[in-house]
Amino acid sequence: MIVFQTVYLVFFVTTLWRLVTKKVFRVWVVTMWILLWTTGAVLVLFPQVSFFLAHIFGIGRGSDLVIYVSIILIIYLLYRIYVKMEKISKRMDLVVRKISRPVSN
Amino acid sequence: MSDKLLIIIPAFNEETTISNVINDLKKCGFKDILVVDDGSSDQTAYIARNLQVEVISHIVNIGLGGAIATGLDFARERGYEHVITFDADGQHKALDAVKIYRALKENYGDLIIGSRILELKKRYYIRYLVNCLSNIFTFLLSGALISDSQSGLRGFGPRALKSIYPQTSGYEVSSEIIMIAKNLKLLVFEVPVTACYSDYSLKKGQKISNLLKVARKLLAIS
Repeated sequence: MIVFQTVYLVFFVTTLWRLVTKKVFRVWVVTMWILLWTTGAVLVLFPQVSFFLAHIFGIGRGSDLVIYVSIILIIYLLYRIYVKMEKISKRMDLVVRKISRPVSN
Repeated sequence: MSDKLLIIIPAFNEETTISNVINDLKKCGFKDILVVDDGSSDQTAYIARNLQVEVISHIVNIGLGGAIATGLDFARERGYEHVITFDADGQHKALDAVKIYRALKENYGDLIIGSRILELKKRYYIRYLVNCLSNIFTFLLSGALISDSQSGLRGFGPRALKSIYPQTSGYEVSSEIIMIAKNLKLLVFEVPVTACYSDYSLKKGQKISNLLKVARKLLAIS
């Protein structure tokens, strides 16, 4: 467990560092990612919190709760990425069509 | 043929067939032909330009729907009254385009679809199956029972040309056009046409593996 906790904390710190220093994301996006990673860090460092939360939701084990929540989050994020890609694709099609002009013979 | 008729040929990497398609159409008396080169990486646009037809080139490939939408915009800008879309892979006969044009001129419908279904049923079983599944799906979404909803040979009368603006970019455009026509209460009419599939043209067009993608895109716009 110590190995996993160390790896997670390294990821946690580097990701936070990148999020804050890159300044390419909007404030709410940075806040959301910080919250997500911090929640993960709390659960990794204090597993008893996940047991407590699992008990509240009627789930047997804390690790099960983490897996369920992760799956829901991943599906949601995939959906958001899909919607975003569709929007970008539509915009690209529109741009391509707008800039195309008849070529004279 | 009428000065108010435009033939739109959406083409993507069709250098082996495009010249025959254009020449056959010219022989049948079609004067105004537009090739929408959808980001081809081969000589399609160059060959078409040398055959003295209008060419619009997309800088990248966006799909059949995008190419048809570009062609329809061009037709409206230039004041055409009738449009016929014609596949570039050589599967249609130019004489069938004449049949479509007659049906448009005689007001059989606002949207005329060249149905290849009899030909497909006899010889091209997989293509027939793909078409049947597409027809069922088109019917469920639009309420229009069309025997060949995926046909690339179709005619737009003045009302259809004025009001049909496809939004989808891929093969789903064939079903979308029917859906729009049905929503706008336009009259859709089918004319039987022949299909001359070669190994080359069979490799192109709708595939079973593409059906789910088409269904997903159509559900998103319906």
